[in-house]
Amino acid sequence: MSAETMLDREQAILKKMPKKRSTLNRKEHIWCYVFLLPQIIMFLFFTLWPIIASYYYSFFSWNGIGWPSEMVGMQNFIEVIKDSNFLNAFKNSVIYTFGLVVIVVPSSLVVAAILNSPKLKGSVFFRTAFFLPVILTMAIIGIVMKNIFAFQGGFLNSILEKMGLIDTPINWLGNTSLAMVALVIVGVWKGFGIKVIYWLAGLQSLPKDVYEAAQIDGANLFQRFLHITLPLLVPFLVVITFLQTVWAFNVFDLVKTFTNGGPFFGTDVVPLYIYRHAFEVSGGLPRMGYASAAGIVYGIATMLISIVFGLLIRKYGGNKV
Amino acid sequence: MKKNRSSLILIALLLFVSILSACSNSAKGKEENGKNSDVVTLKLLSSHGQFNKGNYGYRQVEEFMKKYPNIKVDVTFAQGNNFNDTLLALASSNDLPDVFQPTSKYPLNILVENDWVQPLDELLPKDFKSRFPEGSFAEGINLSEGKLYSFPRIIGKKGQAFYYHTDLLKEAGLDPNNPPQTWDELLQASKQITNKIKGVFGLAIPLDDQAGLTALSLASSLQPTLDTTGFDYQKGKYDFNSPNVVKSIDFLLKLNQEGVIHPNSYTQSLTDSQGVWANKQAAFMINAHHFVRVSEFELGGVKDYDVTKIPVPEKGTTYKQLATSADFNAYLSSTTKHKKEAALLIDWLSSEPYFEKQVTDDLLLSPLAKVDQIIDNDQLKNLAKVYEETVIERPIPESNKSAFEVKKIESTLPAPQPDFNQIVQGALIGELKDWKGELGKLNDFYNQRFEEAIKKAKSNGEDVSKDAFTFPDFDGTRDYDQK
Repeated sequence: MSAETMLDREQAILKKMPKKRSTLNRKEHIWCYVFLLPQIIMFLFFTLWPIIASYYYSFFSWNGIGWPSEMVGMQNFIEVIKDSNFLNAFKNSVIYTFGLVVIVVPSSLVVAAILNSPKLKGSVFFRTAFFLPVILTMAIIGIVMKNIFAFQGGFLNSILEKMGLIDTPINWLGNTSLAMVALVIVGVWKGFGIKVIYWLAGLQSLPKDVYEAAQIDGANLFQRFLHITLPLLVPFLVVITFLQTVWAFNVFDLVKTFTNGGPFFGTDVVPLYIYRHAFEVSGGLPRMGYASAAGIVYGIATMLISIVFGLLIRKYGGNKV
Repeated sequence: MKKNRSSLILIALLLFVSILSACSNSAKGKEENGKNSDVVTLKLLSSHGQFNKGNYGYRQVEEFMKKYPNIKVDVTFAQGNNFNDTLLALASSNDLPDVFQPTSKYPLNILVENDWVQPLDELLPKDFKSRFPEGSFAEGINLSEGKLYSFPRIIGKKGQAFYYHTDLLKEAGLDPNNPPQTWDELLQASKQITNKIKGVFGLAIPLDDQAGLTALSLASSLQPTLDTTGFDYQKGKYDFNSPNVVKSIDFLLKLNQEGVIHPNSYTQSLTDSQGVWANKQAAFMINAHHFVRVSEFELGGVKDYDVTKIPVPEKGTTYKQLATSADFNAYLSSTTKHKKEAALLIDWLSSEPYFEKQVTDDLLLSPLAKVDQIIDNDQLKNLAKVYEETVIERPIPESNKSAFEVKKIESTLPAPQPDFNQIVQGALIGELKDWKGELGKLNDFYNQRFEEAIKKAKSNGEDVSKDAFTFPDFDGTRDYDQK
């Protein structure tokens, strides 16, 4: 076979190939959309529609029954921003979030670094132990914790008394500041395991040769952690902090079952505030329009935080990971 | 290729339809099933523990189904706020149950205003009303524009009572036959119990949801014209910051200061507090008519306890509390497709045999006086006696059509935050220093809201003023003559 004939053949094959590829691509694309369809439908019905509807409702004085008809313009938004209870709930949400981020993010990194050590025996057991609270139902945790933190006969007070750390029981849930402390403790315990897993994923993706080089150069464990591990984990730090912030900012079920926002609004957080106005109003009908406005104000705050983190992720994330 | 595309479209459609059908009303499916087998399925949503699975009401519904095999009743019980949320969600999605028994959060004015219920007159036997004693039906409570919407479920004269453990009194060296009758006696007895019995306190108070009710129950001996919503029928206005209410909160603060209130009370709801009392961690509890039943059937059969009147500030004062003999029980939803069958169920739930067994088997006082004569439970007998001696029939301004309109409008207006319960709780935990100031603000809020409702009713053409809600002759010590 001459070289010319071979070339002609190859060209003929190449001419055919793009056609086949495009058919294959189209087929693949269609299947992608078919698999995505349920998610897209769910997203449209259960995420996008409620968001759009809540924007609409927020301009009405509406109790959730029938169709909203009494338009009040920006009145709901003005009332939300002026409401001292909303500001208190917002403040509590920020305190809770700050408490969780400050405690969980660094401590879970330390624990993950220890668990990542090949010298540690029983690491599977420890990983499971740290991860267990993550899979427990939040509502059950809330109810159990209510008993653990109880003033009279509570497990925590009994332990502290037996250890001689306290003489008289602490009224964890009967005091606004201590109730917030208790809430943060439980929040930390609940969310710790998943952050450890995130950090472990990060740690296991780090290049080993850099460590070997550093070890040859005489860097000790602490120096390696400080000068290699930490800088390389910055993209993970941004993402984990972001996830922790958004998770803590939207806490609802734990607060509802553990303290119900009490005592006297001491642990009231914005999602609970919204729920109360939407469903649990005493002495009147719910205020769905007002609750929607509160949700939008809070949503904007969460979005701003997300944008900040998004910028940080863009700066430190991407190809560096 | 064409075949592949068609199958893809088919799969997509199937997915879409399956999601939609999952979201759609499951009741329709059941109804279809019902048609196929000639069985009608009714939905009953109840806020009463009596209708929890296995309890008296639930068992009676099972009896009903045996009698009417062509009617199947799906009973759902939801307590308190769960019930309120559920009912609201069902109403919003136009899926109200055929029959429902709401909490007091949904009085007739709200139900009628939102068109959730329909009259029963045409559906029930002609002599239906004559089963109940005089005063059991009143405009604005269970009648609207002369039409019957509901009927009483329990004794008309009901309210709060004082429950105490006789064995704990004895153990603390107190006379179990002579429970505290005054506030001072209550404080002293509580102190004695707290000091003498380890791990036991004087009172269990559900401060999370009933701090306000407890304060108003105590205040009612000083101001018997004030009801548990904070409305004073003699003055025709809300009176949350009256000196009597302040005095009762001061007394609660004193009890708290002395350390005789069970310390877990701060975050406890009624259910939690009932458990504390039933487990004998507290000697005293102020609670309502259902507590004898709950103590027996839901708290493991509490022993050695009795019921008496709520203590009064000082000797010589008589305890009085307000109620109306007219009351509500089950409602027929406006959207039911099985009126006839639902009416049969309602008739069953209001028959004399039902009420008879309610007293004997369920330890709940019935609205029929003759039935209540057969009580053989000591605590229930004493409870009936307490109610007989303390409960006063209040005026019913809602009987006036225009006043009913005002109440309807009022119920749609925003509620205050913090509410009365939260203010009392805040005062008790020491977080709200100026609780008296907050009470003043709360009272102003309620009265302004009330006046706004009157104004709106007037602008809707109603001839109404505050006078329709003011009863200067009513002093709260004698039944108000509704005629």
